[in-house]
Amino acid sequence: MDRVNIINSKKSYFSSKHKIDSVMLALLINRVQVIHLIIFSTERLQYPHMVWLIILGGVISQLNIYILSRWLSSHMGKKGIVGIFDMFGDVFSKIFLFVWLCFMFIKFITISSAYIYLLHKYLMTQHPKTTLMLIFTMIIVYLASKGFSNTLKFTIITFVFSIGVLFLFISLIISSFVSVQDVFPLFGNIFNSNFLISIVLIWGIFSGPEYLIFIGPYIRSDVNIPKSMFIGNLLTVTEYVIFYLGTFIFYGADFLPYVQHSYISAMGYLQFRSIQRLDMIILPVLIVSFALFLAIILLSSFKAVLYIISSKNKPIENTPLFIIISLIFASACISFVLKVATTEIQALFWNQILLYVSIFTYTIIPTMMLIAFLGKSRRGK
Amino acid sequence: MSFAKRYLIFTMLVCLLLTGCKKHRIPNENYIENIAPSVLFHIRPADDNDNIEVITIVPPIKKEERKIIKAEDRTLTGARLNLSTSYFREIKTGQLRIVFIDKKIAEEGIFDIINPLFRDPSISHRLYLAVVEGDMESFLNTTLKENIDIFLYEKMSFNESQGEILTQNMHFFLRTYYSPYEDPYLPYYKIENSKLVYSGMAVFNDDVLTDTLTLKEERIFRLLHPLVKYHKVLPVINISDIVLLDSVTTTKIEFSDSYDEVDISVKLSSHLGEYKDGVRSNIQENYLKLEEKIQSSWEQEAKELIKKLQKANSDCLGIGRYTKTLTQKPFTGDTWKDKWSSLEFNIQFEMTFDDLGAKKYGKNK
Repeated sequence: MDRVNIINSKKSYFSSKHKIDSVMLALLINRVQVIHLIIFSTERLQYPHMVWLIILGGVISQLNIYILSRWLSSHMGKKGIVGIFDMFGDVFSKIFLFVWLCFMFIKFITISSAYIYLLHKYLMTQHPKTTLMLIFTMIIVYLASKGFSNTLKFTIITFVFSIGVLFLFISLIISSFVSVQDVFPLFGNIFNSNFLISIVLIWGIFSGPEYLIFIGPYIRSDVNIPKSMFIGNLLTVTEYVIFYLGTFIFYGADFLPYVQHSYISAMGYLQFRSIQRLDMIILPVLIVSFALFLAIILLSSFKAVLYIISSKNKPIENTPLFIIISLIFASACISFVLKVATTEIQALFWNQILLYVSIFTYTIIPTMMLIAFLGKSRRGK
Repeated sequence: MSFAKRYLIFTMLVCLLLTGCKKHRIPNENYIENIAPSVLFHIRPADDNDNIEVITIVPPIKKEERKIIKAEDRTLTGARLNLSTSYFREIKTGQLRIVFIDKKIAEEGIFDIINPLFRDPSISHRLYLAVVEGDMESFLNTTLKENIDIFLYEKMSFNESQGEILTQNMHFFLRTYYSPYEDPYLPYYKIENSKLVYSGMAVFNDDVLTDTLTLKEERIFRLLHPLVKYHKVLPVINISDIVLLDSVTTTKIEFSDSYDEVDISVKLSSHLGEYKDGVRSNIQENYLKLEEKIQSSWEQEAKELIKKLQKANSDCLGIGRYTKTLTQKPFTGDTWKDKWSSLEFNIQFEMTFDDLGAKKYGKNK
């Protein structure tokens, strides 16, 4: 078994001996996007006919996925972070990596504080948030210390553990005392005054895959990358639509604005003969998808720091630097949750910030890739 | 280090971290000897002032002598916290399963009681609610030894899925409360001769109790309700004591164009269980007449029930939900409520016998 060994510095975090195949890539895209569903639920969309907006958002995000898949399958993208240096040039890449590092840092802090807020409110009310955050970051650091390819292979476990929630949700809808009339009217006036705000917010929910631009060298060479990423996005859209219509059937359109975090409250209604209040088990199990995404972010920022500090051709990757970076991230998270994200109003504010950051990165990164591609191909001609 | 040693160190670390790492935060928190998770609450108005009084039975599981404690305060949460002062353990609501609310509070508005229960994240949304009239405290006093709270919870939990007694939980209550197309209802219990007797249904207008239905009317209510599809036992009492078994109903609701008239048609197919007949006739020749008699008696009772519901200004059947179609939603806000009292109903029952049982009833003389 691999061990974190400070003396032996021959261990590499970025060896690409074991690569992921097409199924894992699709599931990875799906799990990375579903995090936003858990955090945001359906709080911002009020009418059942907004489901068409979700499908529209999925279609538009498909274009982004296509651009990202072309980046990953090009020979520059297959080299990972070195490909960024090839595409943008040395100086601009360092600036780009530094700015990207800031965005990843913000995303790390806000997502972990959102999850810890949920965990603290619904399950472990007596524990202070610092303890929960400490354990959470320990899990992430442990997963990240296994190396990038092992972290990416963790998606199978993540998927297996968290897809059961979807089936439980469907069983909840079928067995309740409900009728389909609660989803009506299904075709309404989408283009009302909230249209632009709604489409922008739905856009933010689909973000996530743009943090995977560095995983080029860890994908097997015979994988049809556009097709796998397409399937991953399709899975996400299906899950969103089922969940969205399901909460409207279960709660009704008028009760839903008064329920906080409908994803978890709906799970709390489940009951079997031996177990009741299933959300006690499901809420901690959802830690796997968060751990996966945040470990990828941690390793990507480690890589970015390496390539900023040292030169392009000989990065000195060693464990003390990894420990320092993970300590910086962990202490930032803990102090964040202690000082700035304690009350509910503050937590809601940081959720908004998370949404805006997601929207921003999901628009900017593929646009930059597209412009750089077009520029390179024009220069190549 | 071997695997066992690593596993041991890991477990010890986890146990250490699970204690919360903060000694002086809340003293004596959650030791199992110090908590009493109660299962049943009874909420009623206090005797001489405006307060709310909460009554519960402690201890719920231990082999000690059980007793009743009560506390009162202006707010529900205050009364709940005051309960701990009259007992040497802290009353926790994590296992709260069933809440009985007195009729006098229900007549003034029940939402202020249910809202604090809803907002507490430790109380599950499957909390059973019921309206009770009478002196429940003395009833609980006499039945303490038989674990009455757990018995009542098991009874309600069984009847929720496959019984004939109406049960309602907090999730569906709040769902119908917030919706503009329907109104909530709760089961109604009475204390008679120091026994808890199920005596019908309490009908609400938004959150104020306006009327109670008797057992007979509650049967017709369940027949008419669009989402109740299976009735195990259905007595028809007005005509010569007939009991129908295993009835399967489908209800169709249609509106006229201007939403002034409603057509409700209920199709029912059932087995004939028991038939006390004064005429001693051949049932296989006369079943058509029997069907017609049953249908017309039900239609008569349904008309009276609808009149009662309209007078109480409460749409418990959820008929307003069916005004919504795929493309439009003609009533919003309070407009359905204004319309409800002036609707005209045409109710039709159509019943067929799946199985008539024996060929003849009674002896031929």
